Amino acid sequence: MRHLLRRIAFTATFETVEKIKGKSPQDAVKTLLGTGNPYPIPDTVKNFNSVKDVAKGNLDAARADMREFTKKYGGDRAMMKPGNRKLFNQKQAAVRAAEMEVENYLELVFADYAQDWITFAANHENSVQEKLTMFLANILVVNRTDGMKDYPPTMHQYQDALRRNRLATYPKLVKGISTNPGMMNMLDLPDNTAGNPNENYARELMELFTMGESNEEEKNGGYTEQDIKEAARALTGYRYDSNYKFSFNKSDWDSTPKTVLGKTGNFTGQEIVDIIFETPQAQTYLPRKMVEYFMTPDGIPEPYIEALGKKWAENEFSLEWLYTTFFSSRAFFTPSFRGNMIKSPIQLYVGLLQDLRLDVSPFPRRVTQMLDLMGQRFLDPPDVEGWTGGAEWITNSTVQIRRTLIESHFIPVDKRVLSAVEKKQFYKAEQKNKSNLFVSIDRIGNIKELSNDDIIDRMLEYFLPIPVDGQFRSAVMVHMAMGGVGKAPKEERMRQSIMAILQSPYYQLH
Amino acid sequence: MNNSKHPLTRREFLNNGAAGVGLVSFASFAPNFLIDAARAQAPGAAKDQKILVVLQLAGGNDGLNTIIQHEDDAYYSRRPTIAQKDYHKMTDYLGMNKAMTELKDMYDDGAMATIMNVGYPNPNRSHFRATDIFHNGSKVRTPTGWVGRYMDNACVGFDRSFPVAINMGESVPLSFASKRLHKVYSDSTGADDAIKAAAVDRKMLDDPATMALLKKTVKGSMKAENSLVSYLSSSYMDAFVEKEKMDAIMSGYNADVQYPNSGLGRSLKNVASFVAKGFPTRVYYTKTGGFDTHANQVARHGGNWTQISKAISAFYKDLKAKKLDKQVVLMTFSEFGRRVDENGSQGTDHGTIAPMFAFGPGVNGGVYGNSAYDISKVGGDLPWNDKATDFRAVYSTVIQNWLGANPSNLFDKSYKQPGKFDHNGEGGGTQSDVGETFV
Repeated sequence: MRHLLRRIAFTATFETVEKIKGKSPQDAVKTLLGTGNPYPIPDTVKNFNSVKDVAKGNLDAARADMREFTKKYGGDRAMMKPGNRKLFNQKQAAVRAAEMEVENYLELVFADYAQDWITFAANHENSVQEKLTMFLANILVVNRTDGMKDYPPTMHQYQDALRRNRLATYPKLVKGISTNPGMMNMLDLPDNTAGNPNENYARELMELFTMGESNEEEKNGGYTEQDIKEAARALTGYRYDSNYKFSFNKSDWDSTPKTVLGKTGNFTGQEIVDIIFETPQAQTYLPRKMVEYFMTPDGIPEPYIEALGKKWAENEFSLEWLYTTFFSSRAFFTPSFRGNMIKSPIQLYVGLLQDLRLDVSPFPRRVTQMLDLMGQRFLDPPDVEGWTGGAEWITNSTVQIRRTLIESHFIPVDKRVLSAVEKKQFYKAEQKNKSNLFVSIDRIGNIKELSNDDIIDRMLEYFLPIPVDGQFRSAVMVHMAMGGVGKAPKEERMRQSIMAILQSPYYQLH
Repeated sequence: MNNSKHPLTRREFLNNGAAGVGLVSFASFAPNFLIDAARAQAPGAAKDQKILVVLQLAGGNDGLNTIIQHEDDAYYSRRPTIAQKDYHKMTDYLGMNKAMTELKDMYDDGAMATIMNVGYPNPNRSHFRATDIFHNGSKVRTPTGWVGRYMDNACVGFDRSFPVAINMGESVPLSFASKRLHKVYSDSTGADDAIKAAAVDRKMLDDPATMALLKKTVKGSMKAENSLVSYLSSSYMDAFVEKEKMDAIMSGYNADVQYPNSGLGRSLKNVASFVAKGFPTRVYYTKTGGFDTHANQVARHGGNWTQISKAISAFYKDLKAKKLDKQVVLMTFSEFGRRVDENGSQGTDHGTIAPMFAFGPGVNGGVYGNSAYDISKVGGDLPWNDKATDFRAVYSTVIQNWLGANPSNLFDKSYKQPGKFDHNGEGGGTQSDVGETFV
C-alpha cells in the first residue's frame, strides 16, 4: 500500500494510509481517485498587474530611502564611518534588488503560484489529484515560456483544464485541451489558417499526445507525414478571444476534404481526434506512458500493454477506468518495481514535507529557487516532450542541492537572512499557524524510549521504498550506539541518523 | 521535431540532458583528474595551453567613466558632477579611470587591450536579456552559449579526466550551454545558492557527524546489489570526492603574491591554482558585480575598479612568478554601457555601447575598435553605427587567435576582427584583415 501511495501520490501519509487500510487494491484505488478539491486561481496570478505595481512601489520607496540617507551622509562611501558604510551598502543592495523585481515581476507571480500550489498539493486530500494532473501535464505539455504569452492566468487555466478532466475519457480531454489558449499558444494553433497551415499541433497531437512516434521505415502502421499535413488543415480556425475563451473562426477553417489515417471527409479538428482513437496505436500509447511514469522506466512486454489497451478502448478510453485497472493490477505491484525510479524535485519536496509533517516554506522566492536549482522550474518544462527525469535529475550539483534542501528542514529559520518582505511573510505564517518549518530535537525525542533496533527499523520502513543493503543498516546502528566522535546524546544521534537516511541515495528513490 | 519557437531560459538548459553542461556523474570513470597531476600523464598539456578567463562585470559598466575621452568638452558639460577630471593618461585623447592604477601599469607594459565602443544592433537594456545576449553570443535566444559552441566545435577530443571549462561564478553561465556533453566543473554554485535559498544559518549545515555517517553509508551502498542504488551511490561519491579534491587544490595553493581580500581576488586566486596545477582547462568564467550605478556612481564605480585593478594585477604577477602569465588572457564584458548624461542622482541609467578589455602579456596592447564618438553630437545614448564594434567580432578574435579554433560557425555570420582604434576617424573604421589585432 505504501508503494501505491508513493506512486499515485507523493508519499504514504498517515491520513491516506488510514483511509485505505484493509481495502482491496481495487477499492483502495477507487477511494483514492475520489479524493481532491477544486483549486481556484491564486490571487497573485489573477491580479498579476498589481504585482508589477507593488514592485514599482517598492522600488520608489527604496530609492527614496537611499536619497534620504545620502542627503544626511553624502554619497561617498570611502568617507563614511564603518557603521554608515554598512547601512549604505544595505540600502544600495535594496535598490538593486527592487530594480530586479520590477524587471522580473513575473517571477514574483510564479513564485507565489508555486508556493500556493505546493501547499495545496501537500494537503493529503489533494495529493492524488495533483499527481495525476502532473502526469497528464507531462504528456499534454504546455510551458510558461511558450504557452503563457505574458498572461499568467493562462497557466492556471491550462493546469485546471487537466485537473478537472483527469477522470474523463481521454478523447474528451484531448479535444478539450486543443481548445485551451495555453496549449494553442504552445503549438501555434492561432496561426493555423486555411491556405497557410501550421503543422506543429497536428504533429504533436499524434506523436506526443495520442499515438506515439511513427516510424515509416519500420512500417509500424502509425501516421504518415501526409496524415500530419492533412490533419493540420482540419485543425485550422482555432482561435481565442480577448477574454481567453476559445472561438472557432469558420472563415479561417479549411473546409475542403482531407484524408487522415485512411478516412476521408471535410473534417474539423475535433473529428480528427475521433479518427485517431480508431487506430490501434491510440489504444497502447497512453498505457505505455503510464507504465513509464508510474511503474517502471524500462517498460513491460507489449502483450500486457496491448491487452490493457484493448480493454481500455472497450471502456470508451475512460481515464478513471484506466487508472483503476492499472493501479490495482498485479503487474503494478511487482516487487522489482519498488524503489526503481528517481524522484523528481517536486516529488522529493512535497513528499519530504509530508513525510516530516511540516508546512511549506512561507518564502515563495526561496521555494522556486530550490526547485530551479534542482532542475525543475515550476510549470516550465524545457519543451513539448516534458520532463525527461530519471537519472537526469542527479548531477554532481543536484546531489549537493538535494542534501541541503533536506538538511535545512532540520534547522530553524535564521531571521537575520530574511528580507523585510520575508519577515512579514514569516509573521503571517505564524499567525495562520503555518510555521512548523523544521524538525526540532523535541519531536525526535518522542520516540527515544524505544530500542535502537526498533528506532532504526521504523525509520527505514517509514521513509524508504526498499530495504537497505546490510552495510547501510549496520553503519547507522553503529552510529546510534556510539554516536561518532564526541558521544552525542541519544536524541542527537537519532537526529543525525535520520538526516543521514534522508540524505542518502535511497531516499531519492520511490 | 522541436517546437520551432523555442527560447531556452538560463535554467532550462540544465534540464536538457543530451545538450548541456556535463555535470553528469562520471562515476564509471573514476575521477582521474583528481590523481595528483604530477603523477598523471597529462600535465604537459598546460605548458603550451592557451587559456581564456572570462570576467563578467555585472550591472552595466559605464564606459565613458572607465575610458575617459578627456579632450571632449561635452564629456564634462554633460556630466557636471560625475565626469572624471583626474585620470591616467593613455593617449592624447583617452585616459583610464584613476582607480585603475595597477591596470595602467599593465597598459604601459603592453598587457592591456581596450576594444572601444562594443555593442550590437538594437541594444537591449534589460539586465537579464542583455546578459543572455552576451552569453548566447546571439541576439536571438539559442539553446547554446558561445563557449558551449566553441567546446562542441573544438573540444570533442578533450581529455575527459579534466574539465574543459570551469565556472567560478555564482551560477553556471549560459555561455557554457552546449549540444554535446563536456566535463565542466562548477565551484560553489548550486550548492551555495541552495544554502542561500534555505533561509537558515549556514554554519549549521553540513553537520560533520551526519556527513561522516552519510559518506560511510554511501560508500557501502556503492556495492549494493540493486543497480540503481549502486549507480546513485557512485554519483554521490563522485560529487563528494570531486568537491573535496577541487577544494583541496584551491585551499592548498601557494600564491606568489598577496591577492586582495575580495570576491574577485579569491576567484582569480582559485583560477591560478588550477592553472598552476597543470589543468588543461581552456576556459574559466567568473563574475563581479556592483556596476548598476543609477545613483552616487563615482564612489561605487571607482571602488569596483579599484578592486578589479588590484585583483587582475595580482593574478598576473602570481602567474608570472610561475612562468604561466603568457598563457592566460583575461577578457571582460558587461551587458551594456550607460547613458551619456548623468541623471538626477549623480549616476547614470542603462545605456548601450561600452568598451571590452583583454589583459595579459599574450595580448597586443593598445586601443582597438573603430572610431570615436563626438560626445557633443550624440543623443542620450551612444548609437549603434559604423563607429561601433560588434561584440561577436571580439569573441571571434579571441576564439580564432587565442583559442585556435574557427569561429565562423559559432555565430550568425562571420565577423571581422577589430583593428586599431582611430580617434579622429569619420567612421567606417579600420576593421579589416590589415593591421594588428588585439590578441
